[in-house]
Amino acid sequence: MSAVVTRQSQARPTARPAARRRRWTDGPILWLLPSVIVLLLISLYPQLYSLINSFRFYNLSVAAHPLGFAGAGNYVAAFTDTDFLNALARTTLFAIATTAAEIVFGLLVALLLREKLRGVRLARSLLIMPTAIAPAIAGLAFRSMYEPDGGLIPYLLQKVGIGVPSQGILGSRSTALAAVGLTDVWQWTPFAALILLAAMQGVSVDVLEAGRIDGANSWQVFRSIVLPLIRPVIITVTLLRFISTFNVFDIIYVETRGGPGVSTTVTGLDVYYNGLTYYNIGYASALTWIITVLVAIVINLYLATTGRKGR
Amino acid sequence: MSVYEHSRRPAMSKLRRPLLYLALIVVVVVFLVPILWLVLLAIRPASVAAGNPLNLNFTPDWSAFSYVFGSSGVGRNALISSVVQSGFATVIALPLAILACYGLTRFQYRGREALSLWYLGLMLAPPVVFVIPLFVVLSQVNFIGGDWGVIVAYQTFAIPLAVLLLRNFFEDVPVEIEEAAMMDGCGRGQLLVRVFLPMVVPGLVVAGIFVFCFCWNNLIFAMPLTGGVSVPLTVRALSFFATSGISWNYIGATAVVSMIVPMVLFWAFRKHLVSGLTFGAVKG
Repeated sequence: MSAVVTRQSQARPTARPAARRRRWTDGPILWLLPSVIVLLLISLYPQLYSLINSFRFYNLSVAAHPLGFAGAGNYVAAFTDTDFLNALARTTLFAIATTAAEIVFGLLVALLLREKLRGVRLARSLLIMPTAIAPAIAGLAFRSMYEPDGGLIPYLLQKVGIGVPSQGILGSRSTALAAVGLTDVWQWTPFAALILLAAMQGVSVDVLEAGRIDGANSWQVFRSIVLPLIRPVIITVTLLRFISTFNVFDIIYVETRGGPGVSTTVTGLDVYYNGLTYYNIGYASALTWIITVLVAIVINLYLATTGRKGR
Repeated sequence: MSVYEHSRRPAMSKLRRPLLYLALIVVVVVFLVPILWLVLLAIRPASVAAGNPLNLNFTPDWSAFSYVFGSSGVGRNALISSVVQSGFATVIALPLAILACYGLTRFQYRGREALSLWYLGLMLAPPVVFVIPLFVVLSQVNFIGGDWGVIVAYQTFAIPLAVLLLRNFFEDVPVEIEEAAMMDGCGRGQLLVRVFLPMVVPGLVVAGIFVFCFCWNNLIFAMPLTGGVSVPLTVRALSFFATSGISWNYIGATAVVSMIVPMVLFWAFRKHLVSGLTFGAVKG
């Protein structure tokens, strides 16, 4: 019985004006194919090729072609390579610390930008600027501001009586990672602030009024009404920032090249140096795949929380 | 108790607004100083800044700009390369994204959501995982050191970004308009060109602007894949770190020219910023 009903309901569209049979070209495939083919060629093909290379002895500084099958050698090397493992730990620390700072400061700036103050609209527009410029350019600005002689930051720190390492802020192992992290926080706090502000402005005034009438003070209104309502956006921004700070490359390359020593060498730089400075393609490919799997886990976490909008 | 509450509140609110203004000024200054610093680097004579980085008592010296961007300067080629590479990358990505968005929003099929997520995943993947395999593959077809290698490499994020941003605009085109056009015997190809494209022009502009800026600001693909005259601004700015010394004024001049473009474009499209920078995940 139900089969008959479905058949009838399915029969209707075909009886419409253009009464020809549905071919595969009527579907979405032709529309999707061009971009999918291009992306497969430039992302999937090189990645599969690098998967093959990750099982090979392949070093461009030794020979222009792969030198044979290495088995799991490159992967074994990676998991016993303290430089890589330390870089992985350093990157995780960097990503957690900068993301946390960006979200906390972003929330505070968003709260400030929500106030009815003169000039607040101009301030909102001006705060776009750090996010607009290239991370490489932001890195250059901070590298110059950290310069031991003539740099703004050591000058100001000394004015307020805070000592600066004699090798410079970027030249000292104890301060370099925090210093490059500050660049990222500077560049992306406004981004977090503007998104969180947009989310806060989406909270209806009625809900806030109801809270106030019930006797809640502004902190209670924020904690118990605004915060839960903008939680999905906070999670989205947090995961976006975590993924992107985990992928960090430009600002660190520009400011320290990973130094002093390896104190700011994050995985992005470690892989880059192995592949494009030492031309150890086989080993770099293995590192690439380890990172791909790790980031894929985080990306899937992100998609699981925000991507499913049921569309 | 209640008396205490009453006496405290007006005092608090009296102080509150000046404090908020102070906070606003501090925030704006903190987030603009590094940008102004780059301008100072370019136009302030080094001798003025030496003892006091806050010394603003100087006559601007524009010679760094003429040195870098003059007729024989390396910056001129870098500027042209940035424009050409970002421009071509955008022009290539948009038509592919238009087709993909039509396929993603106007049909019902299994796997549609998975496909959207694939574009997002590509956008979020670490660029370093693309750069090494792409370097190997592109060097085999001799695409390294010119404009084309990097234009191809940019597509790894340009197409997904354009799709994610344009998709929201395609979804907003009412089904009724589409059905009416089809009733009139309009094929899907004609439908896209005559009905959809005029309606998603704002989306094309927004997607184009963001794709252009993402390419413009790129360093990690441009660095290994370009060379000589094809080096864009972000990479060129790094070339003034010589063993003989750092030419901060040339770096400043290059940085200023590089940052003006995305700053103006982001300002002009600030309404779309939230959606653009979250790859369409959060609507502004």
